[in-house]
Amino acid sequence: MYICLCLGVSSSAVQKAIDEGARSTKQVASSCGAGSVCGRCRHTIRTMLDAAAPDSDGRKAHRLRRRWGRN
Amino acid sequence: MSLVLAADYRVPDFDRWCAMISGDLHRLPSLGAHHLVVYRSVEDPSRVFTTLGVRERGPVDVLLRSPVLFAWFDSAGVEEIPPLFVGEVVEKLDLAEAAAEAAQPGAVIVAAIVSVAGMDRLRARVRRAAAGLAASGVRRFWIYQALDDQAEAMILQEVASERQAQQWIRHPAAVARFMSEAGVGAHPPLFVGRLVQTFEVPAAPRTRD
Repeated sequence: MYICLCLGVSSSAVQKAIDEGARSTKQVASSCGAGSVCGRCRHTIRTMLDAAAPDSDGRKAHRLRRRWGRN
Repeated sequence: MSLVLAADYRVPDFDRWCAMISGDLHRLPSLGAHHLVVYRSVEDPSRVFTTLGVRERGPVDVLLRSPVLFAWFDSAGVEEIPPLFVGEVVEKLDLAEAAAEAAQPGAVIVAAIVSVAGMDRLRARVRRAAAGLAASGVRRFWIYQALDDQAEAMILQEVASERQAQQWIRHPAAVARFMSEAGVGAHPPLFVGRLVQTFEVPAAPRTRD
């Protein structure tokens, strides 16, 4: 799926940036460009970051904790 | 080649947005769009799933950053742009006699965007399981393959009734177990909704050279 429409950045590119160490939307933007133009995809990037962050047991949360009411 | 652009998002005021769609259609021909399909969730009335059929006319990144696409989300009152699936149909099965006709408003759809281990294998399994799918109430089965990721699929199933759809989700045949994979990574959770309307996008007026 495309996350950042401004630059045509796909979810796999965002995931790669996260897997390589990006821990904030700013770092994702520096790595692959996603979220660096209009910024309207940052919520999705944030949820992908949250999903990749280790939970209290030290495991990665594999699912997005989507807040469907955010729009 | 015809592409489909699909997104799952929430609209703050569904009725207002729905009433405005017809007025917004005139913008879409510049994208190469020919059909727009709107589904509304049966579980969350503000959640929608839309698919836009587009004749591919150039690089996808140009299509994605089109101001028309952003205006589409603006018009829906969507501030945060949802992930957008862009792909092409690779499998289309009509499993019921009535399915040969166009889907009618109210038709129940189950939409999943998932990663699949082998697209060709999934297609072959679905074809082999056609009779079982039909017996479970699945009337149409479409698989779309993403342009940006060959292992990403959008799978749409039209099911005879909402009750059968819920039953199918709770107790899927092996071939439909991908439904439990929805909601992983950037993929939206499984969408169960009803067809609101299929809009034919008017052709762009011809311009003189």
